Amino acid sequence: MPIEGGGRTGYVMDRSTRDRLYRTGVSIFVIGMLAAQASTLLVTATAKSVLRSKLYPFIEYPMYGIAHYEGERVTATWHLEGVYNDGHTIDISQEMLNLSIWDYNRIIQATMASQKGAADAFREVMRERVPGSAELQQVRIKSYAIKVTRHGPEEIPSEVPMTVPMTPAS
Amino acid sequence: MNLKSSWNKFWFSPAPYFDLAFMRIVAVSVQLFYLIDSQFPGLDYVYSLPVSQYKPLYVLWAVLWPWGFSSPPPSEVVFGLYGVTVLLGFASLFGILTNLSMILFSIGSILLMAFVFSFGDYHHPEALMLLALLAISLGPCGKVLSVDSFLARRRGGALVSVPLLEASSPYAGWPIRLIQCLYPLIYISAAVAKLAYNHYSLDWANGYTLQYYFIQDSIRKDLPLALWASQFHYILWFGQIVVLAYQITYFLTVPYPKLRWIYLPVGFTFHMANYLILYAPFPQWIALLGVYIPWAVAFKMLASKQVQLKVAGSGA
Repeated sequence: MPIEGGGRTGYVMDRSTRDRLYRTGVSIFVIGMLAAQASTLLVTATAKSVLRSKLYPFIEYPMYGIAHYEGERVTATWHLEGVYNDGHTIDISQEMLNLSIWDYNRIIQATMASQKGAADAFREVMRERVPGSAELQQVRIKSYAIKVTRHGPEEIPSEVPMTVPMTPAS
Repeated sequence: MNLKSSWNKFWFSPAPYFDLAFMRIVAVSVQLFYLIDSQFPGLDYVYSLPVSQYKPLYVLWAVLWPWGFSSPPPSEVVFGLYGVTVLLGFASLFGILTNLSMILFSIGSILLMAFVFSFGDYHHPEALMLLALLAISLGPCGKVLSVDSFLARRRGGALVSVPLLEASSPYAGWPIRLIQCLYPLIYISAAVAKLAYNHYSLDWANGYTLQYYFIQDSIRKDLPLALWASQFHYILWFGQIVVLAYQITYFLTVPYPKLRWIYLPVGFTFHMANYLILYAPFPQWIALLGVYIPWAVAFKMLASKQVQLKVAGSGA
């Protein structure tokens, strides 16, 4: 809004100049805001990448955007099972790792997608937060045993899509 | 009418100061509640994550250079920023140096949120509120309902007395208009994702998609209502079609503002259902839907409403 008074000695900006400057400033701001938000649409439309880290707080909104089909396994989350050197196992829960469900899933899924550094981050979390982790040989990632049907959820066998050795292969 | 006058008419038509000040109070209250209720534990939590997860968002780069970009700044710095931001929030709420405090409050909120999201996980409800706070902070949001306006009255000077609900300015409407324009862009973004992520088909609205997400979130967040609702394939199918149509056509509220009286209750119901069934709370979005309500007009109507009372001594 135009600032009342506020001129230097010998120069007081008249009201119409202040109004014009304010309108111009607001117009630039409005165009910038709308253009930045609209630009995310172009990125979403390509369905190849996301802008969020580059333009935050201008982000895409693809919430619940992926289609799913009858009979599909629901990958809500993953079970983790640690295997010690002597063969006995431990269920590693999200609570044990002190992670939110989002970070728990993100760290596991990044590891499964073989993203750079993801397996090391996964091992780091296991070493720091699983009891007796020095004796931990490997961690099995097990899928959730539920699929979607027309009548709701239905149980199916769990699978082990990935096993992460606690000692990285050299 | 040329482009310039259409532009001025759209953004700079006289609007009540009250509406903007009211939205300032609503938006700042919600953001302050969020900061106090969720942000503090959120900051504490991200400092417990492995440093390898930290990848600062670009918006932070301008302020992070003293500490570098490979590891988070000392927690004292971030919690210090948090404390100052909360104080600025209260100053904005009560309208003390309103514009300055609110601009700084908006910037502080953006930096804090961006810092939390620099650890990989990010969510959607907050960004719109951050943009809205910034927009409101640049308008005359403290002209009424503020300590600033109280002090200005006390100081006296060349002031004209105008009823609170009738005081207006060409500059009091644009922040509200801008937020009204951001909603359609956001809903279109959601709709485009539903089409583009599925090879530009209508597969998303197949019923199974929503069943899947109900089951998924019921497992993730322990939601018995979502699990129960996941069995109703045809109802969810219909619901998906309504959601898609709503998001695609929401932009019509800009040229046809009267449509707000359809889209506003549908949007409110949609977000409340999301909250109750999927525990996907979007309180910021629900609060900001208030930009579609002409508050000064509503309060004026309410104040002038006649009520029927029995005359004293009539035996009642």
